[in-house]
Amino acid sequence: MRTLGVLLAILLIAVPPFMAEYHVYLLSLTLLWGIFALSMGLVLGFIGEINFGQAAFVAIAAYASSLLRLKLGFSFWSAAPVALALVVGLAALVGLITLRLRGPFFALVTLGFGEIVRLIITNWQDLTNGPLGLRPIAPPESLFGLRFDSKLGFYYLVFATLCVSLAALARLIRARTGRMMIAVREDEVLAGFVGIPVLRHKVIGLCFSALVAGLGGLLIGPFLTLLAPGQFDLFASVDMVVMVVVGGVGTLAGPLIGAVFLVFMPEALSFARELRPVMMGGLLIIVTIFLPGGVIGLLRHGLTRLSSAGRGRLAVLR
Amino acid sequence: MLEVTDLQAAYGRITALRGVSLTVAQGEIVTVIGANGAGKSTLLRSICGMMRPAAGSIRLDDQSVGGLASSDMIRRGVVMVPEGRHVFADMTVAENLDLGAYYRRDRAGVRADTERVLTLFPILRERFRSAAGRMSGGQQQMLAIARALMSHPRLLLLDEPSLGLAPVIVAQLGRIISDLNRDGTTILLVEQNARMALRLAHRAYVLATGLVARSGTGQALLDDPSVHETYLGGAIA
Repeated sequence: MRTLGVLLAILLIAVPPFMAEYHVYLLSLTLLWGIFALSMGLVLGFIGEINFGQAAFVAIAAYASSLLRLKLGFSFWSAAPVALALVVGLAALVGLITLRLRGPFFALVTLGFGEIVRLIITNWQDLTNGPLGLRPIAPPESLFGLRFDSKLGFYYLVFATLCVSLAALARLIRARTGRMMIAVREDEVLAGFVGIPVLRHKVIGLCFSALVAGLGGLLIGPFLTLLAPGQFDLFASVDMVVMVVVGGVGTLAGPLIGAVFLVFMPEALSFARELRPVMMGGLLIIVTIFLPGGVIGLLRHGLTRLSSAGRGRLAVLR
Repeated sequence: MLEVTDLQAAYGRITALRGVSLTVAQGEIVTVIGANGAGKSTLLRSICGMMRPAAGSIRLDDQSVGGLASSDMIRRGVVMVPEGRHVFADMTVAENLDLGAYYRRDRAGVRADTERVLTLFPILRERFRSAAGRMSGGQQQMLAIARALMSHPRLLLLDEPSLGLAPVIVAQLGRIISDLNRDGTTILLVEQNARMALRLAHRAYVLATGLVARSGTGQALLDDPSVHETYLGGAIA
């Protein structure tokens, strides 16, 4: 698994310079959605909740950083920490209120939160220019001699952000806090008996998730050169959920695989945009019923079967 | 060590405790027996911080601890083993034990305690790397107790540890509880297996419909005809 990851990373660094600009764009889009899916994967797989307001975290980071640049003359790099701090702070607040709720209530409240954020962006026209959106959003200024004003340069920025997010989450999960989070997901009541502060660990998880979503959000404005409230509707969050479920819940690679399946493939095949929500829904139902482990589960299952078959054969030979 | 005074607790409108008072002194084994629904588990849950009492006081070493969260109580040396052999089924024995000591920073102490519980429960050493959910009921109960011991408690709350276990295992459990107590852990034991509990206990309380119906030394309650009839089945032979 690890060697596979390294191999893939090398390919993702080495190949794009030789690709057509459109394909580089498509790859950037896929990785960007990979970042969003990763953030949702943390909520779904490690807190055990569904956040229908995840797109709002993305939107807040995107708008905050772009507004700081357009209205107050911040650079991309100086706006980033401010926007991220805002998102994480808001996530903590939302988490402290909503993560006390059990069962479907968290999902419902976050649904409301997402819609409220979208409506504020739509209607606060003086600040956000409403449904017409903010434009043009310039590419990030060059940093340490690296330039991001070409499709390729920007692609590498997206790639680096994904790698950083992935590394940070991998570390988090292996750290003490991550193990507590898994314990809470496994059995919330028992975690309480063991003395783990349940709410605190859920809120920490949500904050990390919002941080990753925010990192992706910083990039989406410069990537599309415009920001509009329509990009952050409920379907954006649902798409993230579908990616995680299709790829495999409770893993880090799962959401990325899901993003490849749901962004790269439909775009590459580019058919029937209007049918997308329907197809997403259908796919979600099929995967949940027939493939509860997602693509990752299928791969793992296949590998174990292969290796156990191989072992069986060896035993016979002996 | 522990002093519970006039404790009341309720689940919504349903009152579970209607004013329970009891004390546990350092080094004792105190047991609480009673029928289903008498409020035994509620009592333990209130003490360990998993449930907020509606009224009354809980004092630990003369400090009020009523309403504190379980994460605070574990730091004060109070931990509960919930009913029904609760373990993290998908985690290994090692990971389960680790979680029991999660808040501790003294690595050497944690290592020493791991060694101590593995000596106390040799079966856990054998199954150290296997998933907790794959073990038998008795082994899971041992793990649940061992996990609680990893927090190095001064006061251990046990909720029906013998429930559903084979008689041989119950006897083994009884010996382990006495051993723990001899090593200095104070124990508050809730049981439906009244005979075993009363034999182990220095003192005992009988709980009935949310009130203390009777109390005394374990032996005194064993000899009490009414206790005998209600909780031990039949008159004294």
